[in-house]
Amino acid sequence: MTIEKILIANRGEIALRIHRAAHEMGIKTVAVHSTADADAMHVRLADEAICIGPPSATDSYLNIPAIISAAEISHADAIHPGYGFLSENAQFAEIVESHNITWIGPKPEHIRTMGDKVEAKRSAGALGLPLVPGSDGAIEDLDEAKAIARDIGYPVIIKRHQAVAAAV
Amino acid sequence: MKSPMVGTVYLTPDPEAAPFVSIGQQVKAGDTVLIIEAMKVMNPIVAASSGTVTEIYVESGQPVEYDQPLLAIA
Repeated sequence: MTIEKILIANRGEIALRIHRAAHEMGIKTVAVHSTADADAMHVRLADEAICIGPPSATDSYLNIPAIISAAEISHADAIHPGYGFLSENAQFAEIVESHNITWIGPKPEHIRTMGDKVEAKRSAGALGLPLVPGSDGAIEDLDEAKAIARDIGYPVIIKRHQAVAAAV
Repeated sequence: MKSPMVGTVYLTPDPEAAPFVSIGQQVKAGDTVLIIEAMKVMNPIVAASSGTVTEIYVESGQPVEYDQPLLAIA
């Protein structure tokens, strides 16, 4: 299916990057924004703009019903989530697809698998992909972390197992 | 009154019916003044205050965004 109009479910430089790529490809863009961002660059440059909620991101850029409604009234045939916000929300990806809107991103099941870092590492390892040295799975306490760090050598990064949406 | 959601506005309860309100009409707080359809759900929008409808800024079937003026009650 060819895409003629993309709704960009994001703001700032992420939205601008998607907008520019879309225009190079001859695709129209729909910006969504909160009341606070009505004059933002991503809103001004887009072919169409729809206000989807008040300043709080929870009520606007993370508001799934408002974004789907915006796609419906603007007849967008695809949604690009950018990064952060709803980009790693598997449920949102499913809802988009169930509305016959093309989801520009990883499949919902891939978001679920890769969103959990322990599961992601296990899956990548099982597929034979090279991994940086680290723990085999989740670590339970600081002593275990210290032991592993001594073993593989510093510097090390300790990360939370779940992806957290970087909604700023 | 401004739109609380993104969707499609309808001024009548069904396509054949008379509009919920017209200019000059008295409304009470809580009266349904229009419908906004979002994701196939019809959401009745009620008057926030009692008064007279002085302006209707939208037409039936028109898409509306969040915070868009719908009508004025004075």
